[in-house]
Amino acid sequence: MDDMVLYDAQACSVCQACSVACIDEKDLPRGDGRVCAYRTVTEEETRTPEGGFRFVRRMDGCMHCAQAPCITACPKGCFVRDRETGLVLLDERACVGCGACAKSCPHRAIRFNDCGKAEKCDGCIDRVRHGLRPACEMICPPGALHFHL
Amino acid sequence: MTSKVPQAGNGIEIAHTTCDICSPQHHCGMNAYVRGGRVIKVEGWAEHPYSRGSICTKGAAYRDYLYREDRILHPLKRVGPRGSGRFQEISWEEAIETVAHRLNRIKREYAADEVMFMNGYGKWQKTFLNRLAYSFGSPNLVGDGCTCQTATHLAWDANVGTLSWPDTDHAQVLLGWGLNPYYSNSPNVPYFLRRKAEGMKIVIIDTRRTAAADQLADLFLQVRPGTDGALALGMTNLILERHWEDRDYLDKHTVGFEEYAAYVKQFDLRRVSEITGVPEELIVEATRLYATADCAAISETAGTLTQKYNGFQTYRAINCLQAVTGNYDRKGGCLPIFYTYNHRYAGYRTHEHEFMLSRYPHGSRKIGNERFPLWNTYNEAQANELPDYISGKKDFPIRAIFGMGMNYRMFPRPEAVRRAIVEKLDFFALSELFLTDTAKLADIVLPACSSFEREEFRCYPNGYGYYTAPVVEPLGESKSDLDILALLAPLLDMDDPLLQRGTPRDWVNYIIQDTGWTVEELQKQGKPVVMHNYEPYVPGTYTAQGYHTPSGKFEIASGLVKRFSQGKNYSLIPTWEPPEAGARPEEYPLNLISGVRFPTALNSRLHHVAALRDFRPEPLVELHPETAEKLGIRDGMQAAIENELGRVVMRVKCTARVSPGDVYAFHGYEEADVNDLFSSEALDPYTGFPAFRLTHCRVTPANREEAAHG
Repeated sequence: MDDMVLYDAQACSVCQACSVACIDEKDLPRGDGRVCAYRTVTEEETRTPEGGFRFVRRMDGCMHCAQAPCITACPKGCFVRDRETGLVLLDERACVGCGACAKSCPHRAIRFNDCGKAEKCDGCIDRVRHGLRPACEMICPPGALHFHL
Repeated sequence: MTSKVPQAGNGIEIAHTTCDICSPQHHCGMNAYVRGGRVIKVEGWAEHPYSRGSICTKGAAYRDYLYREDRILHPLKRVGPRGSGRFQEISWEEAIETVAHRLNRIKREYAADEVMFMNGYGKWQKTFLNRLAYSFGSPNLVGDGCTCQTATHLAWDANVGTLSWPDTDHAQVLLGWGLNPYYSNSPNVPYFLRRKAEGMKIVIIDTRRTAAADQLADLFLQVRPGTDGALALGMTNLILERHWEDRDYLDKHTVGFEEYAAYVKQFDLRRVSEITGVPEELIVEATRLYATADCAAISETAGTLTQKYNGFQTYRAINCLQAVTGNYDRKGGCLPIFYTYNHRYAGYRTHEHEFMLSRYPHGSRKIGNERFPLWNTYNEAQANELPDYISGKKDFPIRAIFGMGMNYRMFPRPEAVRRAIVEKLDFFALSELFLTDTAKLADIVLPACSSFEREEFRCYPNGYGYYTAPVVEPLGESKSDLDILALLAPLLDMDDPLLQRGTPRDWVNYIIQDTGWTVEELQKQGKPVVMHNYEPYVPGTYTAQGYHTPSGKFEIASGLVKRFSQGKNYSLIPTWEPPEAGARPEEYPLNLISGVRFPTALNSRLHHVAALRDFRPEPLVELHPETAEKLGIRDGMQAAIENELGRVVMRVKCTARVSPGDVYAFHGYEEADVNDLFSSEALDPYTGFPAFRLTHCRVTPANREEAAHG
């Protein structure tokens, strides 16, 4: 089984549309100079041995991994895989804010809200259950982001 | 988190509308999710014939645009000194009567042409504001086109008598000159990717290594700023040397070719490579690809190419490649376009042109015509010297301005414009959505609403017309720009029954009278539909008719330029000279470039939209890592950018996407407006355009305290 989310860094232009669509769909906080989207992309530039530059893009956010380390890392069992869709879901009610999930996550997908509870992308599961696509995938102009749903 | 998916009982509905954040050449289709009279989410509208479900980063933040904290909700009257930003709420009646009274008084005591009308974002009201200005008796209708698109009109007019557009549906090769749809037109990214997959070769020419350079380009030519014209002349020379030109087209349909062919000889490959910084083999390969294709088109980005000391000449040199290769007015080349409505070509005729221009006040004085006489051929006025007009230093004064969406930061040296408005103008009224820095200068502020809150006619390519319906009520007492004009027109001292006694729907019905639709019927369709008088353009028709130029041909040597060249140092053919003879390279060794796009901004229009501003909270300047290192500047530091006109402080972002020696500073920030460093004197001699894409500067480290007060 593959990860649910496929990110094509070569096709991505770092236009941030996925993040803004996420903020709009999820009513995430905004206006204090921090991007609170559940999915973000960044580009880093590194020098090559030949003296040129390489542009490396990465996506941070839940990839709904095939082998999701957060599921096993969480001592409270907050993370479960949704049987119907395959998305990794977080029920934060039992979360004690220990941070084990965030530490285990290779995609910097998990953060903690003001109440100390973990938060992450839910793959727009409400939309998916109604036959719609996740907001970030829907907007991506070059189609660099795809959910195996 | 409650669901936003419309379901029985949750009161959420999806309504169709358009996004009006950027230019009317786009205005993509949107789905607005509405609950209880408020928009709770937006997304692309899949069935929309232009945008096909796509919206961009900016559009995705439409909710924050619509509900921006500084939306103006009531008509306002200034109570403090001008520019103090102190206002008092007044009634619509008082606001409109005041505006009408002040404008009428200037017309009565001085002259109608001493009132300037200015059209800015969202630009959809342009057609109607034009008519109002002309009926009132003033030709001084200024658009944002005087720093944006009009230079492209003038350049194409000089060549062929009408604006032209690449036929990307059929081109085998596309020269994308300054083309980066990823950051300015992302709903068309899927289209370009599809055309690329279908085999269209794409050459991207840009000063920056853009997303398009990485992801669309088969070949990427990174030119030095200001040298695009030299590249075009060099490509022309190469085409002639290799006998890739279309002799038949040149013989039958052009004038001035011999003179041009002799001129371009000096742009040999080695020299052009030295001027542009593009390796010789890349120039040859790009030229071969372009000139030997069965059909090839050029996409020429407006501001990128024209906001330079040599913008007009550069643009014409690029246009002429289409003549030399016989790609003008043929399938897969560049095709003439004739606007349907609101600066858009949709393949059918309307009465917009006549609606706007039939009342044009011939014989009155027009801003900018004296210094930039090519503007005599264009209905709008060139106002980059506005402070001098307001201060009475020109042949006639501007005493009052009525603006709709006007933004003084679009002009070179905006601070000088602001000062002239504050200190010298008799009267200033503005309709706007937001209490912008420009609105804060007005004597009367009229609250306008967005596309989500109004109805309007829009056209889209391939014959489409659409009449929208509001998806939510206007916020506060705000009104559609057209409803504002409908209140104002009857009180103005003029005689225009259609404008003064008709409603906005009557105006639109007049304009679309030949389309087979009325506003009422069209609105019932609820979506864009094809107009009955749609006639797809057949390539070659315009050539067969003869172009709208003095000779009827593609004028490489322009008769239009000749007509206005008296006392001017104009060249009839496109030429290239090195930039800025007067610059002092020892003091200001770096190239300063403003006006570049990034995906979360549109000029200054979105700097206060929270969801977008968070991505780039502070004004940024981009430097190549090697340039920064030489200057003793590290990524993230504050730096001062300065030249003889001014100084701004911004945070440095080091990126190898720009070339060493180039400084890209983003514009329109009230705390650091880099456009103050661009001259309002040194304008393109043909078009009057400012050189936002190239001046000189130096950059030095700045300390933190300075940044706070910079």
